[in-house]
Amino acid sequence: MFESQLNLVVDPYDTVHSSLVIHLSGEFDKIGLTSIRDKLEVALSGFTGKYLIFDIAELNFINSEGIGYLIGVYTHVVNIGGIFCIVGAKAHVQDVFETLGLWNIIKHPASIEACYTN
Amino acid sequence: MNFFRRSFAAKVFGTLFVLGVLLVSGLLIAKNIYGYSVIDTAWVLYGLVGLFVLLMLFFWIQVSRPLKAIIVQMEALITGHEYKKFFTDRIDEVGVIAHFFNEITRNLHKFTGKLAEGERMANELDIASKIQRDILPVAAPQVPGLIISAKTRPAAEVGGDSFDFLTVKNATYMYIGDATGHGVPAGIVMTIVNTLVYAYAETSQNLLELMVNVNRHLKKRIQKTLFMSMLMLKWDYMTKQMSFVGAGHEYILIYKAKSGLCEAIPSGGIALGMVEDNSKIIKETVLPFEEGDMVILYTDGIVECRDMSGQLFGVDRLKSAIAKYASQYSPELTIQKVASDVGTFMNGHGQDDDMTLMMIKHVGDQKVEQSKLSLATTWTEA
Repeated sequence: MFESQLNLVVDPYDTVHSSLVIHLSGEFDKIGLTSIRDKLEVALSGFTGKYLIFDIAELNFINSEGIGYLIGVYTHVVNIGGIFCIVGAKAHVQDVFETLGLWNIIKHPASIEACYTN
Repeated sequence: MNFFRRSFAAKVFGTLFVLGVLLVSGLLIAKNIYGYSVIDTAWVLYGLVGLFVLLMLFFWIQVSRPLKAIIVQMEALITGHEYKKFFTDRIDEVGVIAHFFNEITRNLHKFTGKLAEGERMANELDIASKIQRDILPVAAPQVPGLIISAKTRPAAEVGGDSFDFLTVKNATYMYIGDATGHGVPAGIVMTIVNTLVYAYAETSQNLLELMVNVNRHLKKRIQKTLFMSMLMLKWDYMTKQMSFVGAGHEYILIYKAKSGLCEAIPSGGIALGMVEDNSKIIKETVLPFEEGDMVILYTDGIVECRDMSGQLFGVDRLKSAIAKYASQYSPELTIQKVASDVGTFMNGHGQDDDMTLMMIKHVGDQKVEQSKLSLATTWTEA
């Protein structure tokens, strides 16, 4: 049974890699975004590290609202000289990213560890 | 004293008490001075009548007159005429009614103000919706060698789906696009893109350059969370060649008449507005498009619509429906049949996103009786 809401877990800042890992699960649509926006923006507001990684292994659905938000975050991270990665996308979520051409600009290694080596 | 100010009943009984004391005192004084009996004299009756008259006068001044004034203003309020507020320092029941009336009318002012604001916003949304409808073509064009049909159904007042056709020199450009979400922001993005397409279609050397120019100017003008996927086709009359450039849109579907199958080709590229320069990411591709074949463009509102159990319609169902109908029907009727299948699948589930379908059939040199074509872009189900 899929989770119908969007949940967010933010790992403690990793000082070794200067990275912040955010785990998203559930459905990333307008309703989901509204429910986590404040928490997400608190997590991102002070981010000045090198890697911002979204682990979406448990994300079951994403639509253009969710993509739009991630693109906004991507642009911000790139503008401050950081590296934005998405890891663990399920096949049908991968399709959405691929269809929109996002893999042309966003790094999507196989694992979180691989973000640091690529 | 405050007790008498707060309660009208206390006032009445207090007044009655005072008047009663005055009456009894008067009668006792009359008896002592003039020797009248308190019991059997008519003066008692005169006194009672006088007391009653005074009481009525008091009641009229304190209750009837102010209540009548309040009722007159209430009637004015109810019948939509001009009404006035009450200025009173009374805190008894009449004062409470007057304050209550003032409070209601003040809240009513706020409420009617919000209603007027809501009405103004609804009017502006209507205007935005009309502007968008005016931008979308009301009919598909008549293009040599092709039969084109397109239908759209927005989910909100202002949709994010867009499509259009324009002819420049020996070519017709046809595009379908889907801006982030729907509603006013999506409508604004599609309006900008539509304007840019018209602006650059004349001056761009080819399809690729057109899409690069549109993206570059769009990116400068929209928020970083907004974007628009697009698929642009170009039909060259002279070479009878169909080419396309994808910008992060859904699959381009092609129904092959010879095999009776519907194939899905990834559109590729990246959605407009995501990067400043898309020239290295998008590319122009020639479609394998032969006589009898049909190219189908759609937006995600079709494949992402859900049934009551939450299941998606999906690309495979769309391909199957097209393969089933395209061999028997014209593009117009094929769209109607597919729309009907989508409606049956949803089975009462609400429409979450805009839906647009465009079908283009290659008819070669075959003469098409244009009067038999229904080119209207309004979505209908068979």
